[in-house]
Amino acid sequence: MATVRAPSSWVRRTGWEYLPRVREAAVDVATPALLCVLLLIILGFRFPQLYSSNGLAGAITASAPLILSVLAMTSIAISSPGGIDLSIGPFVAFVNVGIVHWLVPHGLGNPLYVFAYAIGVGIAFQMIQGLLIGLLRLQPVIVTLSGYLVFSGLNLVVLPNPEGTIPHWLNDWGAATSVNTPELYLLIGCFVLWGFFARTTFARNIRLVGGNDKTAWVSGLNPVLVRLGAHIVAGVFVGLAGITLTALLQSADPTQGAAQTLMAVTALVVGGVSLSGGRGRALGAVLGAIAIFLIGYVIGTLNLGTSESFVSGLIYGAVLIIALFIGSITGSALGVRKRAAISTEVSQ
Amino acid sequence: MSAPAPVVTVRDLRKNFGDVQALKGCSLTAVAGEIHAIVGENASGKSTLVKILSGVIAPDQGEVNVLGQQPTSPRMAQRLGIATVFQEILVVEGASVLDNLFLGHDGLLRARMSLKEKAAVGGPLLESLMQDTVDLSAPIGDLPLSARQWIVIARALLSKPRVLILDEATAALDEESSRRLFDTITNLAAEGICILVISHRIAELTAFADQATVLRDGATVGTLQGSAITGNALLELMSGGSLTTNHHVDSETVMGQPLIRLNRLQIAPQAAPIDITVSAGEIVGIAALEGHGAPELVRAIAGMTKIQAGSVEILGDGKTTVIKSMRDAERAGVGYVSGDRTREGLFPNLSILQNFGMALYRRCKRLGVIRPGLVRRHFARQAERLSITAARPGAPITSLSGGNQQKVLIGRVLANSPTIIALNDPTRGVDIPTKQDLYALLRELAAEGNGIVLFSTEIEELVDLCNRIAVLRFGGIYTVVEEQDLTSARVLAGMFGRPAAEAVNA
Repeated sequence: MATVRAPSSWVRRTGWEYLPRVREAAVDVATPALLCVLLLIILGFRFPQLYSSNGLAGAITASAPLILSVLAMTSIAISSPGGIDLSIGPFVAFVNVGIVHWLVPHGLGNPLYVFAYAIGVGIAFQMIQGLLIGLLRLQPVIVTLSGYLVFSGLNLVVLPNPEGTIPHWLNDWGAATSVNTPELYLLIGCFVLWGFFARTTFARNIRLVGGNDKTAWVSGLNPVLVRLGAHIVAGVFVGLAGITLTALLQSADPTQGAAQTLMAVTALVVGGVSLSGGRGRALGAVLGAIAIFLIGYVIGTLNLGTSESFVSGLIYGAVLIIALFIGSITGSALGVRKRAAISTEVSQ
Repeated sequence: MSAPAPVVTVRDLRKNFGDVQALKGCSLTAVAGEIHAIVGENASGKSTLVKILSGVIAPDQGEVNVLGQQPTSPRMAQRLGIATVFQEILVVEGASVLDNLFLGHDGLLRARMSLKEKAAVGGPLLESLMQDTVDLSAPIGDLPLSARQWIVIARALLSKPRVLILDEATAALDEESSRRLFDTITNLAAEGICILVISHRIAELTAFADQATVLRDGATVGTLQGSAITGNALLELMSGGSLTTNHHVDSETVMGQPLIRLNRLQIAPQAAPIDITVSAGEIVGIAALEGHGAPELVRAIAGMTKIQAGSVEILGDGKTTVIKSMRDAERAGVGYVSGDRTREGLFPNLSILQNFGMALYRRCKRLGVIRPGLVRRHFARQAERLSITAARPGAPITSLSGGNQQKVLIGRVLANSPTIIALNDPTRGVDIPTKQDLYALLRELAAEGNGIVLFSTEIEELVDLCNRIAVLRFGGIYTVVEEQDLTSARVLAGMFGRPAAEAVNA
């Protein structure tokens, strides 16, 4: 046992090594990126209007809630094995309902109040979920499924029918007349923000806790606090998703949640975020969200009429399985192997 | 030189896990600047002690004082200046080498060093320990066990500890690497750091330890100083103060036909092949330290683990059956009993009778329908033979004590009338009266002409019961202690890799 060298090393240690990281990123992101390119080419033939200023603006407005929801879920998924947030769709709809039903009628429709409300509610709810999961050690699936059911019902209690007026400034957000939309800047801002966040010590702690919480705990990290933090980060993105959903709908719709949750989970997996924790990146997740969104466009161009919803479910399911399959192949290529149980590696 | 103040004081420490007493009266005093060995055989409570000292688990009773305080969490232990290398190699697989080196070093939100500084400090240290170059940005998943072990050791050293605890830190290292580690910690001790070492390599301890505390069954049985730390002295204390646990040669043992032959069986990559034959009427013991392959060997006999090479052959009626699966083993008459009841025995939410009948249902049926009466009759027979004290067979299995649960599981195996019984530490967590019952049962089964392969973590048990004992090291047979030589000292010496001749004085 003379030499010990990681096979994936391209460069020697210098302090900051980018090349292995770039390659690792490429592996994680390859699937959703290729899928996006493929879909964009298909849409070039079937739906060329997408490439007009209006078409792109509409796509940005329509995809923003999904992209932001997936970013929120990325933070949660990285922070723990089995970390997932099924409540995300109905909760984003709840933010939307709240803005329209509570803020606007009370004259609180200006951007400051709306952002404060959306992000505040998002953080508060995610903290509750984070504490239930972290402190009481409840299964994330169960906790967030409860959240899903509670908000699906609550939205309808608050607002039985889709209706209401949105703040004036959000009219412009939803207008979608040029690529130069506020949503685009919001998305770019979020992405840049995530880029900084991902380089913080706290984000590294999230990855370490998600990768192996026992090891992290024994080494002195506090998994409960770290996970709570991951949920708070998710809360910010959930709130922003609620605002963009309001802009998209130009109204409030209590029934918008259910489909969004499933789309977000699909996008997360397609985006290469590991549901077993510790691994995933925002670029992949965002590309996954875009891919899922574009699939919807492609299905829309097929003019399937009433059978569209069945076919789209079928296609999303197939894409999800294929993405998982590819993910497991690349995962094993990255060398996530099991250790030998017996200490025979010792060459005596 | 006046005696320095103790850095680590442990007094009358007690810790129970359920019914099992892991520590019952453990005491230890270590001072700054010494290398203090903690010695004991398997399950003597060493690792439990280490976990308590590191704040991972809380003691039930007793005093723990490290640098003036009792560590109550890993975080606090770390703040006190305690760094521990645990027996399990704790790394985050997906994270980079550098992140693993400095795991727990940073605060929740802020790093204490930039990545550049970390690489500048951690890289050279790791390379000097490993004597090799390392790519700090590579994920751990790619690295072999020895490299992971060095990373965990380097992590402990990087925290600049005042108390360094090494629990089997050399287990995954070769001898040259181990020597390098001990040279390193000798230097650290000279700087005034208190070092607690657990190792299965006695030679390392006799060469480097300033003081040794010997544990036996969770209690401190002796402390040795400096040159008094010799292999024989340690083994003598470990094995119970005297070397009198000898096998009473049972003249009535009648060896019959060979029943099972391990033919160049290799249970792990790079492990030496194992050749051994078990005959009717014989109890063959397997002894080994943890991680040296004893459970794997027993499981291989039962067709439960994938073997690397060679074969397990059942001999009988003039024909040879090669076991390739659990089904083969069962058909050939091999019964498997595990001490790990949670993982390999119980269905905790089912009744006693259902647990018992699990392996019988295939036989006790008519037209595809289970015959509950027949299963009950089987149960009644085994319950009488094993004197299982159960309120009623329909009660949940969890209502029984560990010992009675184990009896039910043995009854399950015996109901299939096996000719070869492979036991994987069957008395783990079993009370003493039940153990006695089990010993009597095993002797009876052997006398009936069955072949028995018994792995146990209790050496006395093996020495008492077995006709011979195969001692494994690194997955291969290190030595076979024959009936006339059978003493616990010899077996223990073999487990620690020492030639039998050195250990013999009884």
